[in-house]
Amino acid sequence: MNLEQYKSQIYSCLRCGFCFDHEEGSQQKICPPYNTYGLESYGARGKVLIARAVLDGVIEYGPDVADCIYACTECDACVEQCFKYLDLTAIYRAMKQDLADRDLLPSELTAVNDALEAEGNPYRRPRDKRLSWAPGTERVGKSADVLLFVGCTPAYLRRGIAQGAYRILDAAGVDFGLLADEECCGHPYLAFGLLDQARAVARRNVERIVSAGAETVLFSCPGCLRTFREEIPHLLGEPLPFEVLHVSEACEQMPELARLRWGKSSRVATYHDPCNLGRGLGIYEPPRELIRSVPSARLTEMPRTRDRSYCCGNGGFTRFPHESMAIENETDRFAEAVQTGADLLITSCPACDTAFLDARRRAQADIEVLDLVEWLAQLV
Amino acid sequence: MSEQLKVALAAIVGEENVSDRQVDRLCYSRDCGPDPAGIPAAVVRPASTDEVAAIVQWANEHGHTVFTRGRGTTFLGSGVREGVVLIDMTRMNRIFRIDVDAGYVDVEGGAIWHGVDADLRRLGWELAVPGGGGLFSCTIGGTVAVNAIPHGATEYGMTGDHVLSLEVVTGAGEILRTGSAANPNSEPIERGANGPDLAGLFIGSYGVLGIITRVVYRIRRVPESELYRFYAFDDYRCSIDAAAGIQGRGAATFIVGMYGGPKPAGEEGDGFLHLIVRDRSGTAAVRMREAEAICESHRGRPCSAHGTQHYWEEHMYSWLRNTPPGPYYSDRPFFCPEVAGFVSTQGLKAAVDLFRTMKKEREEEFAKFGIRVKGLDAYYSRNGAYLWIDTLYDERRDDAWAYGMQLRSELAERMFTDGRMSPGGLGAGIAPHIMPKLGTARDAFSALKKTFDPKGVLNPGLLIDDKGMNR
Repeated sequence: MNLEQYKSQIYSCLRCGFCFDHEEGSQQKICPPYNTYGLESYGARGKVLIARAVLDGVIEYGPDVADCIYACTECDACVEQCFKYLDLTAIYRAMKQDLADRDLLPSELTAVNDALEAEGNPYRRPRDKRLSWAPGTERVGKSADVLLFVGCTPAYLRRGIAQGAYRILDAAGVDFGLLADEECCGHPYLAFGLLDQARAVARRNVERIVSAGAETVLFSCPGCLRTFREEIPHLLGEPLPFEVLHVSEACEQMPELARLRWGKSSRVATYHDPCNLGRGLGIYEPPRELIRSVPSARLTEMPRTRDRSYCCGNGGFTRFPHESMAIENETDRFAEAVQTGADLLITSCPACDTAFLDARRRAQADIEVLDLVEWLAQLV
Repeated sequence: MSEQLKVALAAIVGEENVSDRQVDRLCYSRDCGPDPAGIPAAVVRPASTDEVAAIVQWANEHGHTVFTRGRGTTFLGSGVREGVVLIDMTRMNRIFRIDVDAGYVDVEGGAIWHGVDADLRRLGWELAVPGGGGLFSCTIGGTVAVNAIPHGATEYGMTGDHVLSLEVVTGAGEILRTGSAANPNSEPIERGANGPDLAGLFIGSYGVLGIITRVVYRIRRVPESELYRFYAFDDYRCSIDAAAGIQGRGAATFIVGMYGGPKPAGEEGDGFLHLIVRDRSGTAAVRMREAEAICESHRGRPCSAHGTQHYWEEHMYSWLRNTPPGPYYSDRPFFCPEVAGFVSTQGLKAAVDLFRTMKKEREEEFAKFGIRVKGLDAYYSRNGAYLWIDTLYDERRDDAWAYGMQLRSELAERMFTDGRMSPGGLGAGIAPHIMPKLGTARDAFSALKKTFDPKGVLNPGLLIDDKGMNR
C-alpha cells in the first residue's frame, strides 16, 4: 500500500481538531467537505483516522472510503492549521493512489479520466480546438524564450483568461509562444491518484516545452503552475530545465511586464486567494501588488484571507463527484466577498473564477467576477 | 444497526444527520488520549435541545445507550462503548446572546471555544477563562462537562467556576435549566439562585448525568495589559515557595511551574516559573513588580520571557520550553498517558519528589520501551497546583503502548495515594483509579446517576459502570 510510507505521520496525529475551524471567529469551518457534510470522516482528523484504520486492518478500502477521500478539495487549509505539521494532503493522495489501484475511483472521475485520455483535457472538448481562443496563429508553435502554458480551463471554459494573459504579454512586447500540442498538465491525474498517467503527460509536456526552446514558462492557472513547480520534478526525478512563473510573479520579475502601466479604474476589489497559489505556493502578495498598482483602484480584504483563505469548494476536481458540496462552498465564499462591499471579486485561478461566476449567477449579485489577468488586460 | 433504528433516528434529526457507515462511525471512537474505544453503531447529529431530548427518550424507550461527544479533545479517554448511538453535538453551535452589560454569553453546548472567544474579542471581551483547557478547538459544553483546567487558573480558577447557567437533557430525557434560568420568568444571570447549585452537579460529570445542551458563561473585558516573566531556580523547592508567595499576594494571573522533562532551551535550573499578569496597565505593573520581588527573594534568576509570551498568546505548550511548535511537535508519533491532579502548593514538593523517584526506579524500563518524560508541569491554582505528569510512548509500538498504559495505572495509584493528588479530569482512563477511593462521595455520585439516568442510558461505563457501581 502507498499509505504505508506515511505510517509515522498517521500515527503522529494528535486528533486535536485544530483542522476543523478557523480562529477568526463565527466558528467558520476551514474544510469544505466537513463544512458541507458535518461528519468527521470528511474532515482531516477523520481522514487520518480512516488512514490509520486502513493500516490497522480495521477497515478496507471501499466505495465509502473513496467517497470521503475524493471529497477533499486539496485546499491545504488543514495542513496550514495542523498542530503536528503533518503532510496531510500527501496522506490523502497516497490513499487516492491506493483507491485508484483498486479500481475505486468514483465513476464521475473515471469519466474525467477517460476524457483526459481521449482529448487531453478533463472536459472532453476536442483536442484540435484547444487554441481556438487565440487571436491568431502566429505564436502557435513559435520558438521563443517565453512560453505561455494555457491550461485546460482557460483554453476551453474561461477563454477570457487565456486571451487576457495573451494580451498582457503582447502589450508588454514579450516575445512568447504557445505550444501547438499542449495537453493537460496532469493535475487531475494527481488529484485522482493516477501517478503513471500524470508522469506520462508531464514527460510529454516537458519535452514539448524543451523542443520549443522556452526558458521561462508562464501560467495563469495556479493548478498547472503548482503541478509544474512542485509535482513534475518529483514525478520525473529531475529538476525542470526551464523556469516556471505565475503571471503575477512575472509582472514583478520580467522587465517588459514590470514596465507595464495600467489604466485608471475606480473599482473596489476584493481578492480571493486560490488555494494552489496561496497556501500551495505561498504567492500572496504579487496579485495584491498588481491590484494596488492600478490607479484609483482600492483593495478590500475578506475576513478570511491569505493563509486563512477559504477554498472555493471546487479544488481537486471535487465538483464532478460532489457537485452539491462544491456549490455550497462556492456560495459561502462568494457571500464573504459580497459582504466586503466590493464591486469586483478578483481571483487568480480559472477554477475559482468559474465557481464564483456560477455563484454570482445564482445569487443575481451585482459584484463582478474576473480573473486577475482578465481585469488587467482590460486596463492595458 | 438495523434499518428500523436508523429510520427512528432519522425521524428525529433528518436522514442526512444519521450515519451508520463504518467509515463515518470509526471516526468517533478515538479522542486525543491513548485509550482504545469501541465503535458506535450510529452517529446522530441533532440541531436542537428538543432533538437531543427526543434521542434520549427514544433510547430509554427502546433499550439503547447513547454517548455524547463534543470535539473529542480529551486526553483522558472519553470511553466510547461499542455499539452505542453517538450524539455528535457540533451542529448545536449557535450563539444566542452576547450580553456585555450582564457579562455573559449564551451558547449551545456544541459551540466551539475559540470560535466564540474570537467573536467576543472583536467586541473587546473574552470568555472568562482562556484556552478551554488547552485544546481550544473543544466545544464549550464538552469543556464544562469535564471541567477542564484552564490557562489562567491562578487568578481565574476552573472552567466550571464561570458557569452561570446550564441547560441539560437528563438521562430520562427531561430538559432541566439551572440557576436563575430555572425560573422561565427570569434571566440567566446567577448560578446561586433558586436553591441548590444544580449546575455544579453536571460540571465535571462527563455527561453521565445529563447532556449539556446550552451554557451561559461569564465573559470579561480583555485586560489592557499583559506582562510576562520567566524565572529559573537552582532548587525547585524555592520555585514552589516563590509561587506560594505570589499566590498569597494574588500577584499573578497565571503561574506555570516546570519540574521535569526537557529544560527550556538555553536555560539551566531545577525548577522554572512562567508568570503572566493581566490587568489594567498600572495595576499590572505593580502586581508584576511584586511577583518579581518574591521570585528574586527565593533566588530566582530572571530569564527571557519570550517563550512565556508566545505560550500565552498561542496556547502552544512547546513555548514553555522556549521551543517553537514546528520542531517540537512535527513527526512525533508519541501519545501521552497523562496523570494529573490537584495538590496543595506545599504538597507539590512531595509529589514532585515522588515522581522523580518513580522515574529513577524505572530508568531501565523507560529505556527499553522508549518512554520519554514530556513534562512535570504545574498550573498553579488559587491555593494549590494542578500537576501534570506527562509521559510519552511511541504509538507505533504495541509494547510501548502497553507499558504506557501500565505506567499510567502505577502513577495514578501512587500519586492519588502517596502523592496526595486528586484528579480534575477523570475520563475512562483515570476514573478506575480514583472512584474506588472516594467512599461516600462515590456512593452519592452513583445515587445521582440513578436519579438523573435511571435506565443507565447516558455514556455507559464511563465513571460509573453499567450496574451503577463504581468500578
